[in-house]
Amino acid sequence: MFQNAVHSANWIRNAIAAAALTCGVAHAQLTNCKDPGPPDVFKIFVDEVRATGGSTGSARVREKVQGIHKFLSENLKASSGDIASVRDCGKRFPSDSADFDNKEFDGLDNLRVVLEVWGMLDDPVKGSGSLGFALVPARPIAPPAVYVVPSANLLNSLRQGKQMSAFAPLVLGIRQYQNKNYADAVPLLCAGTQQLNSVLTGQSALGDDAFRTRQRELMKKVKEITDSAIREARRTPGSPFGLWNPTSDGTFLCPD
Amino acid sequence: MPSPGSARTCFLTVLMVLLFTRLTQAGMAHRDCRFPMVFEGAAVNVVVLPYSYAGRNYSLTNLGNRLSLLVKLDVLSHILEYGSVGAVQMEMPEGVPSDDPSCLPETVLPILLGTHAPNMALAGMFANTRGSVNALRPGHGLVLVWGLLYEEGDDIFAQTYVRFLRRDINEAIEFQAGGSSLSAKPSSQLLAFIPQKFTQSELKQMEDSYSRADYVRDEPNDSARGDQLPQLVAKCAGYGCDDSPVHAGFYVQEKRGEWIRIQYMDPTKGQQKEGWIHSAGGLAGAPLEKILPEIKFIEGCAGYLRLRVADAENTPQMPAAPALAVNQLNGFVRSNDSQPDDIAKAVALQLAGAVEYLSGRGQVESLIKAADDFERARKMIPYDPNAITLAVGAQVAEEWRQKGRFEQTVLKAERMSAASALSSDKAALANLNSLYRLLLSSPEPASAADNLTRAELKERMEALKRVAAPK
Repeated sequence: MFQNAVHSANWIRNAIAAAALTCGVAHAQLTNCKDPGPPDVFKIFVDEVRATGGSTGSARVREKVQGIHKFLSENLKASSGDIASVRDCGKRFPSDSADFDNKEFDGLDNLRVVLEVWGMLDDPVKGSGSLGFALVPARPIAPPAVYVVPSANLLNSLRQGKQMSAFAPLVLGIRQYQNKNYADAVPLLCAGTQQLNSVLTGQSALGDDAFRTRQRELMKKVKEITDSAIREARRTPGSPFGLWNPTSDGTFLCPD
Repeated sequence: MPSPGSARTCFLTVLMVLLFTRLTQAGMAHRDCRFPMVFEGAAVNVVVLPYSYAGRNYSLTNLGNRLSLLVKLDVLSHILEYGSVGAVQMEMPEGVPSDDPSCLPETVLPILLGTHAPNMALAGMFANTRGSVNALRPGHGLVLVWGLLYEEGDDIFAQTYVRFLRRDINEAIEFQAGGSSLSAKPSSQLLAFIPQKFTQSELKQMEDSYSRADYVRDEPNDSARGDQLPQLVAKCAGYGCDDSPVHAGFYVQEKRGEWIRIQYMDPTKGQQKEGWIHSAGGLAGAPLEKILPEIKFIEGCAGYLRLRVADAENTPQMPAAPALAVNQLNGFVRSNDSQPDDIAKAVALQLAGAVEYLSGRGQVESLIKAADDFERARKMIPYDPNAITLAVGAQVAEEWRQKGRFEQTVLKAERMSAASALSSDKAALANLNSLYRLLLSSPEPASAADNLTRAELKERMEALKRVAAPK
């Protein structure tokens, strides 16, 4: 009987995974990720970094975009640790932010993708371009949760900013919150909040004013769900969150 | 009757074993990634993998190998004072496909930790590497270094990654006060450093430095006669290709300025030989750490691990070693001022604090310095439960030693409560319990302000009991 239950559970799991994959396949705009990884782990998709304009064919430009791609992958691996698997998605590349519609987000969500990143190099000589981020679990709280950050110098921005290391814990925390894993969500939300705050302030603040305004709106929402996650975690009998006291105005904040 | 050949092999083996059993400081250059090795006798090994380049530009791939050799030699020459240290630089032979995963940290690390066997089909190629083994001894330390190179205009950027550990041992630091203890680990043992720029002129200087460092010379002088360190090339892919004399590793006998005098075994002649390597030449006279400040982190991290291995094995540590490690780690922190919330900087402060605390043996001055380092780290990453516990633990140890009682106990209790919730580790609850017991058994604070009363403490302990034993 136990074996039957296991088989049955596996069958259901495989069916869900197949349905999720089909969902990803069905979308017209975006090609599938060439290596989407195992179904049961959180994932970060790293799409192609493309050079736009006439210089796309030169070997030097190709090396440059490969370098940016590798830089993105390695830093996301370091910042997500063992919590998420960073996948190289080959030629997958959104032609427009609008490619990330509800259907696409649902497909990504079913595949347990929490973050998708891509890049465009507009001027290989100056290094100007933009980076795109789809924060999959953030869509319900701060739609459309797709951010394209222009930069006068792409690698310079990547080097100085720590936005990638901020986004990884943030989206993982939101996802854990949505899955009602409140105790697991809080440490990630606190780490992401602190790191994203440092990205949005100071001399090396990332992106333009519009981007920073949208990020602050996201931060406000994240603060709210952090408070909510701590309250929910406290409801579980025996939870150590019961030891965590609110501030004088009754809200729960990350330590500072 | 043994053949002359086997007698020679046996003689060489005995000589090599004799040479390396007294090994305390040793190095290996141009080690083939496909068969990773560390020095068995060294308490701490620093292993530097090549800085990889995503493109097909051969000169940049070559630059990645060169930079790793310079980093390894520079680090080795600055950690000799710790004693019992090894440094290994690995690379892929020319001609091996660029997508071969052998040089990736995720391939090399399991082999060095003994959780994954190396490809023993390759063992014959490296048969004469006595004194070295594939896996670390349990309890011994490792600093694994790797990196990425990428182009930006005419400049090249290098980003370094470091992972540090002791095999099969948790890096927890335990603070003692009044019969209670609090423990926590450094906040991360895997760090990505800020990419650093090499201008064209610095690349040229690197080339010159590499040319100087890649030789074993008769005298500590760049113009003295010398033999080049053996290079890995594709043709060197069969049995016997590893016969070059210093490939098996070398033993460092002394350091003189930027030079180290090494001893090595020449297997072809069965002789011990000596020579000099220009190991810390930097770039055009400037130290390499001016461009790559993370080198200071790597050195200090090796010092931290060396201290912890000595403590665990109950062996003496060089008296000047703790101060050197703290100096190197603080050097990295000072060089990294542009990143106030950088986790690498926070971990460097935690390692410096750990060295101060562990080597200070309860002296007030060391406890004050340690508490200051841990608190600075906590401010950088206030969300991290280990950073909170290290800071509170060090403050508690310091206050107990100095005054025999504690101040600001509300703040301490609030922070440790948050740490116990943020941590998935059960030890966090034990830490909070230890803190409450300690506060309860200590004299009343000098002032009631900012401090918990005994009734409040008892109430909190009751609440903690309900958490520790949920129904």
